[in-house]
Amino acid sequence: MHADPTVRCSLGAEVQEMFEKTQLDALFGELDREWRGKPDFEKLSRDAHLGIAYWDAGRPLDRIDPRVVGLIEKHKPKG
Amino acid sequence: MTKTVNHVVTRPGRKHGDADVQIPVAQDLTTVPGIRQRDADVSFYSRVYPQETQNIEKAADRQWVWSVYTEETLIHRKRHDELNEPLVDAAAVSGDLEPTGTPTGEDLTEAIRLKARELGFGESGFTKFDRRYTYTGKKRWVKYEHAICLALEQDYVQTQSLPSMDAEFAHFGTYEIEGALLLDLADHIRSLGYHAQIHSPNDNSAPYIPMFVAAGLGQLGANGQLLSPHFGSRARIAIITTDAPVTYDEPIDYGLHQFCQVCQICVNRCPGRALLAEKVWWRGVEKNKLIYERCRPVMARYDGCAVCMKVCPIQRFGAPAVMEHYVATGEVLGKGTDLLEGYTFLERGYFGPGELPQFDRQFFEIPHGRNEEWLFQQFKEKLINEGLPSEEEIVGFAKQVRNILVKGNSTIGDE
Repeated sequence: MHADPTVRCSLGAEVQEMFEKTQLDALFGELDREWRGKPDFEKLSRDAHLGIAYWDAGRPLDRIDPRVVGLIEKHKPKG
Repeated sequence: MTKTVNHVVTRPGRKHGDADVQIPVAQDLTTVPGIRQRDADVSFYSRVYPQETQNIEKAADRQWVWSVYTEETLIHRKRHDELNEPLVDAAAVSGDLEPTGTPTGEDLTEAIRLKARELGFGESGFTKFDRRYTYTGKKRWVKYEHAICLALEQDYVQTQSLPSMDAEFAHFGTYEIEGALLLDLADHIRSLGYHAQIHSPNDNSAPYIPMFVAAGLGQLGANGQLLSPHFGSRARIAIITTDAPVTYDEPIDYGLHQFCQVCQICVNRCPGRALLAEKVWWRGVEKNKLIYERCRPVMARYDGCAVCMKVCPIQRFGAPAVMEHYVATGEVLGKGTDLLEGYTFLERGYFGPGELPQFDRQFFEIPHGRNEEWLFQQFKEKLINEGLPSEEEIVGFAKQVRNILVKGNSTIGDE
């Protein structure tokens, strides 16, 4: 049902793919398996949503928890 | 494209003890503190066309929803109602309880705010209880003039699974927790020497959002919900009125009134096409007006729907991040992405950006109005289609009308 990988022009010149459902499912699935039930789960979930949004927009991830940045790097679209 | 910042709003952190946050408001999003309104019009409509709760005005469809709920929803709603009933009942008589402490005459604004935060309320604010908004059936019930507006955050993770039963557990569970916390806070106010009347989130005395906006706790979103700075519409709101001496807060321009016009994600993603892009003047207030009849059939059949809550960037990321991103880039954070705009709609599957479920006309045909009005509407249709009814049918109709009148109209509901 979903269209081909999305590309967008972010902040002018850079063109990059954005997270699609399969990649989102994989990232949040791993987050859930590794962290659900642990004290940081909610914080990491919030950071995952914000971090992916920043990544999709081509913004730096310097304010995102390093554990989440690792997940984003692992599951990001392979452009 | 970088935007010029008009002003910066400083608010307390999301949780008690968190550092303050800064929300930069771009010049092109700046409008007015709170919401644009014509005060004389608000007064006129409240006098000539006073509002009644939807639990009464829309009783026919609120009864109908029970017939289309999924089995799981039905079981959960019944369980929730059983749990919630004593809390709603306690709130209804809370204004009659006498204070247990001795009043000192000191301003209690910050003491009450601190207690509310300690109890877990994410937002609290003070304003006059604006009686122009009071529902007809509650006009004699409201006792005290100062309103303490209280918002309790709904679980973040569960909410992002909307529409789902997990999110519904969070929705109704938050009300159950909030009902108990309101009792605690009211007890605290009485211990300080003053009266406290709980306006339950499930037995509303008025539309509460205008008073939350007046108290500076957020602005009205295009999805018809209060957008509070930390959790957007992921909040369950209630009011306590009191005669304790307090100082009123002021409305704030978070930039959200105009941001919604730029964003429009909820408008574009609403499965029922119930949200309108343009603001209209309604009862003296400029707002995006929801089409109830397009929303309700979807809500009832799809686990409460609430896609408009799920896809709101303020709900998902919080106003500080969204407004900072807008100032830095001129863009709406998450717009056009699967992350923010995608949703799985039960058996219909996944809908990414630009994709919406389709419904036929019949899907939106639901009972309208009060129970007695809907009954009479059906009677009229029967007359037209089938001619004069039999004596037995007329007596049956009369009995149904009598049952509705005897049962009365309940103001209690769970939206």
